[in-house]
Amino acid sequence: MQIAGVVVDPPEINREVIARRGLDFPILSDPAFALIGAFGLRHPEGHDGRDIALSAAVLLDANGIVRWVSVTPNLRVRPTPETVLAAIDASGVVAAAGSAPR
Amino acid sequence: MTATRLSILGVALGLLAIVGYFVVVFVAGAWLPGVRNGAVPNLVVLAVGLGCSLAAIRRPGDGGRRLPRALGAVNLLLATWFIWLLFGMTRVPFSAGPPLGSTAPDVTLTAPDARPVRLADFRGKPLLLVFYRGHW
Repeated sequence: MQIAGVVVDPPEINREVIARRGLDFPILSDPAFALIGAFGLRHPEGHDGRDIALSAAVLLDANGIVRWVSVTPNLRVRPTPETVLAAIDASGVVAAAGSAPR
Repeated sequence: MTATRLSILGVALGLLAIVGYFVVVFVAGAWLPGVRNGAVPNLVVLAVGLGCSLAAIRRPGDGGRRLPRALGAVNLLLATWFIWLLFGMTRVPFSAGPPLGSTAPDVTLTAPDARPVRLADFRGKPLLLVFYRGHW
């Protein structure tokens, strides 16, 4: 199971956040909205008049197929860890990856 | 309890509900995600506070009704602002996100060490992508 954050902020800021929070996963910079836009997660003028990403979680299986999505209409509401883990279990992506030839 | 004390209690509960919510969001959010999401305990305390304010206003005056009414108005303003914060201000445009079953595009993003990273590099194992609003 891999995890990666995606945000419009530049790598320098992301390095700082990773260090400050002690994260053990990368935060990838997407200032051109290449992935954010492709996934329909762009929030026009979402912060101080600038476009940012909506807060969301997307689960991809080992082949890059979208298997679970969580986007809420209110930025107060985020999926809880239990919700995310349950979704990962239900999707079967970990079991499937384990048995895939590599 | 006197009307004055009850009206003060009402405002105190209102402030407790609101300040408590900010504590959860900025300090304890990782441990209390349910409260952050639903704010149910805070809304309950807010409602009790408003109940106290109302009861204070309706209690026979022990020195006039001005203070209970003034504090009741303050409490109502605080409660209205808090409700707007929870349900109005924090709304974002609706998006369904990417369709289930679709393939993630082969885009190149930038890693924290400033090196380019292709999304396809993550294939072979499942990947949980967490999109952040940023500007932290």
